[in-house]
Amino acid sequence: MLALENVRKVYQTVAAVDGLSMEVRKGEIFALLGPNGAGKTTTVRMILGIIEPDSGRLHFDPPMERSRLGYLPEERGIYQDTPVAETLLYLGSLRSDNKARLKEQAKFWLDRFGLYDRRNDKISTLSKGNQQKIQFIAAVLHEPEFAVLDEPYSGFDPINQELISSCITELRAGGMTVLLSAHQMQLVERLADRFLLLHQGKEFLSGTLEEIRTKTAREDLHDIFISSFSTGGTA
Amino acid sequence: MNRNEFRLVRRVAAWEYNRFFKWKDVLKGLMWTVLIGFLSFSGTRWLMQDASDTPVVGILHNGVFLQETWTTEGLELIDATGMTEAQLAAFDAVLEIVSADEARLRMEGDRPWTGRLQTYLDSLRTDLRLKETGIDRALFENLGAPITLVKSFTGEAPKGRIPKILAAISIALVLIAVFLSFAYQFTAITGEKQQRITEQVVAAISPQTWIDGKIIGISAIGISHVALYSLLTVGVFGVIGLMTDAPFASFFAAVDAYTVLLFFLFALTGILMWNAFLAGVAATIDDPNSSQKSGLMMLPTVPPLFAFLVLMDPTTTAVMVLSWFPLTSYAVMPARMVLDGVAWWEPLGAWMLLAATAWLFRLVAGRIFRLGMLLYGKEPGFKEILRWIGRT
Repeated sequence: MLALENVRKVYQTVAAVDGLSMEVRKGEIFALLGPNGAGKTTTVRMILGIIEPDSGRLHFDPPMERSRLGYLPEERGIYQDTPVAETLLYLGSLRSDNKARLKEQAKFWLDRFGLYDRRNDKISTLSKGNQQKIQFIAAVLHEPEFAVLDEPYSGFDPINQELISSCITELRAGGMTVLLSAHQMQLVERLADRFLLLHQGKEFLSGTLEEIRTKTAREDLHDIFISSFSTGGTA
Repeated sequence: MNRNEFRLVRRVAAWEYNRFFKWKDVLKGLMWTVLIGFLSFSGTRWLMQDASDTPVVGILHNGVFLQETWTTEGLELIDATGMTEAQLAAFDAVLEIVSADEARLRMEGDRPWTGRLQTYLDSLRTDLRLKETGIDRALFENLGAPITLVKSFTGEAPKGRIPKILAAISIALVLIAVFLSFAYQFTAITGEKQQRITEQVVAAISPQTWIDGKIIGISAIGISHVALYSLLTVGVFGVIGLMTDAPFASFFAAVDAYTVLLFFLFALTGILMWNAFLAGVAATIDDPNSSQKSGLMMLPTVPPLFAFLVLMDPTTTAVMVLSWFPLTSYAVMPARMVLDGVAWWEPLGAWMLLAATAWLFRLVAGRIFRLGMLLYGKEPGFKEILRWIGRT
């Protein structure tokens, strides 16, 4: 569905992404992992067309319109002075013309997160956690074919992290392809079909969980992550 | 711009407009304006009432002006010669006439009516001197009379006061619209940057679409405010005109549909052009409290100030140039049209130049916006901005 071929992006003198190739298949949850500064967000921004790669090729097959993509950015923020439902419908309307369906979906997701009663409240009156939920809804409200969720668990307590996990699983079951970037290894390893560990802009490890376990002779992703990156990525 | 982009621009414009232009708040604002206006009017009337009490002035004189009765409008003058200090203390002021060339006024503090007293004393002195020199009053007045200068024009006769006032009002309205747009555009864009909303939106629509929507939506807010206040002003003056027979009808009669249409066209295009400029600048500002670029946001207020020059003389070369120059034409050309005859092709040519510049500003702003909106925590220098503009 999405292929990156030898993609490179340099900021001044630092290569944020350096010759990265990867493939995301239709209907899977693909996890993009790596320590801070590994190049995950730059990769995500290139996939979404927010920034252009300096070289290499990045393409969707079949070609994907912007409106079929969903995005939860790591750099989080939402309009504060407008009501919840109005804001969601506006953000949804930038990607979809089907107002009635957007309204249905907004009701569904607000119900799912226990926020339907607060649909007419200004977002600034919600707690930080609830604001994060609104942003998650904004990313999937228009039922995208391909959703990029950059750090979807950040700012949530363990109960809500589980809730987000089950929502992502449901979205995949509904046919959505999900590219996930996160630091919560235990959650990600239960969720994702395939993984790519980035380090200094390059692929460090990739494959299914089984393949990675075989390659590294370690049981879980958390161990792999710690042992690999606490020594500067040379394991 | 294709149909889909146009639809998205419309959606962003509506969102921006509805975010900031709320009828409930506007009505509340109007009610406050009316309340403050009422309080000002009542207060002024009350103060004027106090000031309109006729002051009483006691006069101590030596007979130099040979007056049997002392009288002038707005002052009560009483011959106080021979009164005691205690009796004199009851007057608002005591005037002691020392000679035909000197008089002394004693009072608690300076008062505005002393000007009237001065005029009265001047006329007494003039009468005395005329009598002493035997000059006839009519002859004296004739000596000081001005020559009558009758003007005739080989070209178009200059407009009267009403067009000048109309031109001044037009310029002021444009200035208000630009100021309001400035405030909203600044709040909208720097607010979005600070609230980190940018990335979510630019992943959905192109930065050019986003900025186009913002420019249109926020310009519409400025125009709505101006339209609302203009209508209210017309309404209020209309009512006052009907109630008091004030000559407002001749004022409105001086406005023709062609002038209004051209004024609207120039104002609209100018406001859109400067909003594009403001959006581009705001996208480069990280912290509005400390940014040096905030000063640039005042630049659009300069052209309307130039336009006020037109009121002094609409025929100078400078005014001619400014009425064509796209950064100033939106304010200067309409003012020149009202005050001086212009050929039909002049407004057309100036507007086309203005529209082309507005389009160029929009494209440049889009390029700045694209990179500036994603730059958090630091501000680009002017060199970097120029590099962004040069990028395709």
